Amino acid sequence: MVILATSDNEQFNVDKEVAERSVLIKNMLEGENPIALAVAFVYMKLNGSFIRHEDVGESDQSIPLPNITSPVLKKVLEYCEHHRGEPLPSGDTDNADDVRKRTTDISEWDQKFITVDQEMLFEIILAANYLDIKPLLDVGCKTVANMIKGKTPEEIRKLFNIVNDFTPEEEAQIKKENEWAEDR
Amino acid sequence: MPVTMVEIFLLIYLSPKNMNVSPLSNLSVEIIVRLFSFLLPKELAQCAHLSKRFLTIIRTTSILTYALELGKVNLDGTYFLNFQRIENSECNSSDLLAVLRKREHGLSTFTWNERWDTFVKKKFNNLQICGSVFTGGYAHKDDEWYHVDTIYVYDLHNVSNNGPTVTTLSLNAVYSGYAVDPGQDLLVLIENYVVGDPFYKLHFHTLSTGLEYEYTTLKQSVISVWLPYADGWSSQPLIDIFGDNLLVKQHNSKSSDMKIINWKTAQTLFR
Repeated sequence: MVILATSDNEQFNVDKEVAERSVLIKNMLEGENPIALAVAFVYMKLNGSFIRHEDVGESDQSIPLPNITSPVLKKVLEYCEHHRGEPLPSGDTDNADDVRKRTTDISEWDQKFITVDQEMLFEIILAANYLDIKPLLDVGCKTVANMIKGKTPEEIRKLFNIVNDFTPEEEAQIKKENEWAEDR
Repeated sequence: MPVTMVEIFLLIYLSPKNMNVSPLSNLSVEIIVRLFSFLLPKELAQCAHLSKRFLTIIRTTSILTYALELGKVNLDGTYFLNFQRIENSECNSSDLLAVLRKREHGLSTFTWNERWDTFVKKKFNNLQICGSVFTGGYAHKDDEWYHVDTIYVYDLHNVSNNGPTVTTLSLNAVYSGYAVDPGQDLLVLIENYVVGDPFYKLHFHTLSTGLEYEYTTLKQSVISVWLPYADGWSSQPLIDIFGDNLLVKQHNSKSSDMKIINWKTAQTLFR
């Protein structure tokens, strides 16, 4: 078992196999990533809860996840649990990008899983990126990509609360450059 | 308990000022680039309108209009334009076109100018083009030159170790590309790359010698080109084209002939 501790000081007992869907955690457990270990150590020192946990004398490893709140980690672990045992994407991102089909298809379970409000969706993306869970990151990115598809820039801005910081002249210029995309 | 980094993080994150900020806008560049990789060029064009940050990201990661030009004729979304090692800064279509014009001007040869013009028009307004290979090019912006080292077009449904494969192009599609050496003396055009045809044509043009050479080769062959200059040969390799295993290099000999070497057989094909 691995103990994961969130920013709001909740602790999750997780099967090692499930936790290791996260490349970050996997590397930490294997001690292959000295930087990740060092960062974790610093956080353990900084955050009282982890020191307390150490004092209890648990032999299990406790991993602090200072960027992740418990509701988000719960979601992420739900994904990891469902996909446990599946082969991890091998190799570096370059390779993964080549293999990765450039489609926005999402499997049925993932689709259901990722049907959350926008705030949670972005929290999941950030967590997946931080924890280095590429398949989950892709599910999140694809979901956002699907939300973008078929919308005008104005609709996208509204949907994601993006501030238009172009001057009217700049916008006209870009519009001109991209004219072909408008009329198709 | 002292204030921890976590608390500082939460404090900043939850402060009212940031409550209204778009979570999409706040994603790191890496995540946004990943997200954009799921969009078609047309959709990417829409995103370029969103805000300055998105425009910059799109321009710096894939020279927008060229990606769009490709997208224009490449509707199935199987292509991914990967610009490698773009140094110093962003560049965009108008920059590149400015380069082409500047190149023409610098070369001051009418035939060459015309060829560039024709080439640009022909290559980029021709709806048959499904991909292009840009190599060893330069982009110009604010009176500074930026090096665009290598640009690959991948068919992501069919990538082999040899680079982009064109086997999944729709029937009768034509794969074209060109490369210009950094000395702007040699232009290589890849033409008549038709799916199902085992051969394709390469056109070599040099300004300094006025040489033109046309070479028909098997698609899977790899070729190296050594290019002469008036003041001798450069010892530095000039260009590499991986569009379909074409390698172009400059040699450091004193000969004034253009040499084309088949990489695999080490045969001199043209001198």
